[in-house]
Amino acid sequence: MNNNSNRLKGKDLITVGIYTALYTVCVFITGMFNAIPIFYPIYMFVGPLLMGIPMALYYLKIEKFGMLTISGIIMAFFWYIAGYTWISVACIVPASLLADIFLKVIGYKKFGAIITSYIFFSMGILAGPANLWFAGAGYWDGIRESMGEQYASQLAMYMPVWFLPIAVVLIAVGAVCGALVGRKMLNKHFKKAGIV
Amino acid sequence: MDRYIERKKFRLDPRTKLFLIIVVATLELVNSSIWFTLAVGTIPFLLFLSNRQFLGAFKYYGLFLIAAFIHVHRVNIEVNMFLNMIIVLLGGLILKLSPAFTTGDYIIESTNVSEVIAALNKMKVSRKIIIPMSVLFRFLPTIKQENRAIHDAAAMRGIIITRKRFWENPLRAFEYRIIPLMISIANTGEDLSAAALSKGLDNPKKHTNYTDVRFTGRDLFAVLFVTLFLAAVYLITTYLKVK
Repeated sequence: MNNNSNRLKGKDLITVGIYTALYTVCVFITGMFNAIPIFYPIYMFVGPLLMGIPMALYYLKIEKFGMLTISGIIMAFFWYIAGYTWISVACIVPASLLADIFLKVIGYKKFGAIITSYIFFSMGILAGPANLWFAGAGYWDGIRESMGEQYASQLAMYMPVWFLPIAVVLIAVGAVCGALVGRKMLNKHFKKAGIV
Repeated sequence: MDRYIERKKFRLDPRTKLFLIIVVATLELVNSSIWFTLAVGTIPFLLFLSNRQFLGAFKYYGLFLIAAFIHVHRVNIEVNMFLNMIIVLLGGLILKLSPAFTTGDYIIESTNVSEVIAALNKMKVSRKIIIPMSVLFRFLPTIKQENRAIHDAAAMRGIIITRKRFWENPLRAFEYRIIPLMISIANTGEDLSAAALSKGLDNPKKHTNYTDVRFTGRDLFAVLFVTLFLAAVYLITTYLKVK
């Protein structure tokens, strides 16, 4: 039974469910702003920044390998349902797996590990723009058809392919800031409320 | 009493619902004629009706038809550029995304958690996915409810988005919204895991389930109806080359 302590128990799985629900809801609500093209690049920074607060709480509860990966698999399912293609699945699942690995290697509940892991986990929101870049001309036709010519041309202007490395940097910076904000919020509110 | 309710509602197997949402989510994005999009958008409407969510059904379908109308006449709309963009954009969003979201809403409203678990168990999905999934489904309505309560409290203090005090310090107002929500969710989560553990969630033996999930004639009817309906609309519109 001793070697079972690293396996996921019911309590861990419930934690995964709760925080995945919270994260997914936050992502979809804030993601609504992407309906305005100029917000698309800005979201790459603001998204991880805001998500830092729920994730900070989540990271406090992670003590075992696999929790972030399961979160990623479930989120990928929702992204697929929401109309992002298989590319979103190919984006989110490896990102969360990498986040899991880095967290395990550096050490659970260490702040450095949380930042590193959160940077990789946030790369999952590339799932949205990745469709624009890699899903091909058919996807653009779909956008032009449904959202109108103006939206498509503006989106093409704000999100060219060479934006990919910039987006990665933006997400990384946003994730670091988000982790810091999350820690600040933890200290400010949650310790007082006796949650942590 | 239970059987009475069961008979009144058109109850589907969760696996059928999963099939339907995947069909709707995949096909609504297919770039096809407006009639096909309309046909796909009709499925959630019928599902809502079958679950006796009449108000929601007509709200959704009205919005969807308006969006379709805007989509058809989008070239003719000539107001100023910015307003035009917003209208066409909103119409497109509703037209392309609302069917899948509405089907999702129907699934959450019409399925209880033990049904989902029983169905996923039959699909041989690992418990490591089943438990987080069922917790997630159980939690989405809770998040909605808590958020509404916090919104009411915030409205009383005048820090909602339509009031002036909100814009004095939007970040602070955002903090006041999200922190209480997270605290209440963390607390509910603790309660939930304590309850689940005392019910023997960690028992390694095979769990039994009181809820019986099986395919019935209704499932066959729903799947056949959706498949034939969509195929018929698709074939007719391609044959007649309707745009």
